[in-house]
Amino acid sequence: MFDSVLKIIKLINSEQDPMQLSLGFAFAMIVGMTPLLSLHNLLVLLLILVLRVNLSAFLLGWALFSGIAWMLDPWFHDFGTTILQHASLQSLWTDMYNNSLWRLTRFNNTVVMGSLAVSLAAFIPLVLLGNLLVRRYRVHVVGWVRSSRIGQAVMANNLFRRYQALRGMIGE
Amino acid sequence: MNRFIRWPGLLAFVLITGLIAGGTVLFAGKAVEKGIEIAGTQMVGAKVDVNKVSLSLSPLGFSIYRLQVTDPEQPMVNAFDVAEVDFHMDTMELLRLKTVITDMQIKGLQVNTPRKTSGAILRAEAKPEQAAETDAEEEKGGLPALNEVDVAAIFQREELASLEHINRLKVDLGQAREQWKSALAGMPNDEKINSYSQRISEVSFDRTGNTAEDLKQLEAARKTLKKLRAEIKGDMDHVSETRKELLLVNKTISSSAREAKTMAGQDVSRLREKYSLSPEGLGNISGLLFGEKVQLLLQDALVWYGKLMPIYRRFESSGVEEEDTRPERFAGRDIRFPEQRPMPDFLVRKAGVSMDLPVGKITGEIRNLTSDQSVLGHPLTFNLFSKEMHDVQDIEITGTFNHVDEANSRDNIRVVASHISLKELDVLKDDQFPLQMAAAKVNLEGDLELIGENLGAHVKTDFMETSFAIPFAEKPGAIAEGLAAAIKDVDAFNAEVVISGTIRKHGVSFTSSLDDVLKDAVGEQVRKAAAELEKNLRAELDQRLKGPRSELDKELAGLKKTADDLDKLRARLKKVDDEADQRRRELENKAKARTDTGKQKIKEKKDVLKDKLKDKIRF
Repeated sequence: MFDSVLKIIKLINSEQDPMQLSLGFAFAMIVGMTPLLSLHNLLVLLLILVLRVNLSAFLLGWALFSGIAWMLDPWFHDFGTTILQHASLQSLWTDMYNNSLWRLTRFNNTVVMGSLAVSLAAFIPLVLLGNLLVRRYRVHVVGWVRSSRIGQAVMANNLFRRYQALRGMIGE
Repeated sequence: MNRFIRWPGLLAFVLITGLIAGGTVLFAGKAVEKGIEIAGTQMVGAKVDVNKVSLSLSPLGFSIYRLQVTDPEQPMVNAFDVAEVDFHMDTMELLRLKTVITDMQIKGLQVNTPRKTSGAILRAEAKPEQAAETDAEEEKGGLPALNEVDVAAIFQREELASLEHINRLKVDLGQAREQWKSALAGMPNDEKINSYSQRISEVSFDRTGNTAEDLKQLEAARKTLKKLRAEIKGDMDHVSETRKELLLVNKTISSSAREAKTMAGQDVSRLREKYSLSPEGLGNISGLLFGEKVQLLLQDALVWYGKLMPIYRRFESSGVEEEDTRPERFAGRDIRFPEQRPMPDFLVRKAGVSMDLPVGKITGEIRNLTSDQSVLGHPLTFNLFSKEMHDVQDIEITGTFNHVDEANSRDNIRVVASHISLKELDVLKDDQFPLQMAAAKVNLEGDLELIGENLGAHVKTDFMETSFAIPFAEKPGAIAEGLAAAIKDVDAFNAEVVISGTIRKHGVSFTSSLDDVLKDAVGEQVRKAAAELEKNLRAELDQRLKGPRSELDKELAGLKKTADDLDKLRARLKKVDDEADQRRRELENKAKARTDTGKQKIKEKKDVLKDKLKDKIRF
């Protein structure tokens, strides 16, 4: 049973494409910055499992963006309030408020609205930027680390070899 | 396609979602249990405990087992203790995040049950308006004296307006006397008056033979007399003014002293009313006997009303968010928009109640239980009844709490009960008359209404098969004994209670057919006792006033004598003045006579010269 679970995990985490890494990061931004128990996060969960998205990047990004959300929470509240109280959007919000499914999304909560609006707006730019940065990183930084003496010493270490083996189990 | 999609992920999603759903179903009960405890504790201000909550999915609902709500004022007692609450929820409204309970059954509700652990919490919550403190308009508390009263003891502790008045007058008189001392010191004495007479007699006129010189002397004497008279007149005016003032003060204080007599009468009446059962007081003796009990029952009812208020009444304005305060982190604020089908956030459409009280079981129904009546548009109604109580044949309690429009709120409760059995009920705890209702059967019909802050109630009761006990600790006086004998003979009476005012300040009026019975029984004795007390009070007061009054009269008599002395002094000064005037007239007459003599001589000389001139011209 345990081996089967590990195999599933290894399988779904075997992607290394920069686009997959940055997508993982971008989805983590949505989940990290918005309240966790929101309905849209169920959709995000579906997407990250079904699409070939790097889960390690997602988990790492989630931790990072949760910290950022803690700092930006008051600003999200203010931004969300501005959006929800905007005069030209009142009829839209009223229609959505009277729909059960939209009510479940808690769109009328100021923090949900503010954080979701920011994370959706930043989604595509983050994906593109992440993609670019990862490619640049692999070309310039990884090569330098591999060729450096410290890098070679670490890679020759037993502990590192065990780590590599574990990575082989859970990922690339 | 496979490049972008990993199909096993779909399986993982289904598994995870299933786990979450399963976990929700498994732990929903626990979550609701904690939610009720936390929210309930916050609302009540004391611990709310739940033993267990179980979830049912079809229909969607919960069962809460052993809900205990602590009485905030008695941490070791539960205000409410419910064995089981079952309710079903409206699923569609739940999707709109509204908790609408379509049907609720409350079983085994008890009140004031003991707790095993204290239900106090550290932080006291701010309570909404509680109708706990009331001021009865009747300031008269307790039974007046039924036994013989110690008059001396009364006077020792009571203030007497009449005595204070007389003492005040004495002080005023003393102050006035101090002011006159200097004025009286300046009055002319015998020596001065004699000197006036002496000076008058010294004014004289000696003839010199020279008319002009004589006239000069006379003029000087006249001026001296004029000056003297001015002095005497000044003294006379001073004496008159002082006498006038004295007489005025005498008159004022004498008139005030006469008021003391009226005030003495008022003192006697006041003390008599306070310390005795007056013939007028007999008209509402049942109010004195039962009033205290009625007040206590009303107080309890208002306290319970205050406790129930948060359930059906919101104290902050609903739908208006406070934008000045920041919400908690990650909580945000829910912005409300107009709803096509307005619904309160929490509503119980119908709740069946079953209460287990020490006296038996009461069942009933409550409809439209919500703190947002203005959103729902319907008031809360309730109907409780019982035919299974030990000491009550049947009872029905119906009512409406209408806060749809908070500005025009209206609560009313109607209670109809028949054959309530009372046993060993303490009616009045007073050493003079410890009245107990040993047994009775009561039919009761009452209406209570609260419109805004205005409270009104009307309760009619019929007492039947009554028996009273009055366990006197000591031998009672004649009135108490008469009352006890009369009341023991009563086996039926009716009573009416009328309450009016506000929650905090209201008047309670209690009347009953007992009044005539007791009035007839002890009316004559009460009248005699009241008359005797009045006589004793009057005698004691007269005795106490005698000394101060005679002192005041003495002072006033002294004042009158001084005024009379001043009058005599004034008469003497007038006499001296008359002497001076007489002297003046004498001198004026002398001056006139001298002038006439001079004129005559001049005329004679003139005639002689004329004759001589005539003779010379003839020749």
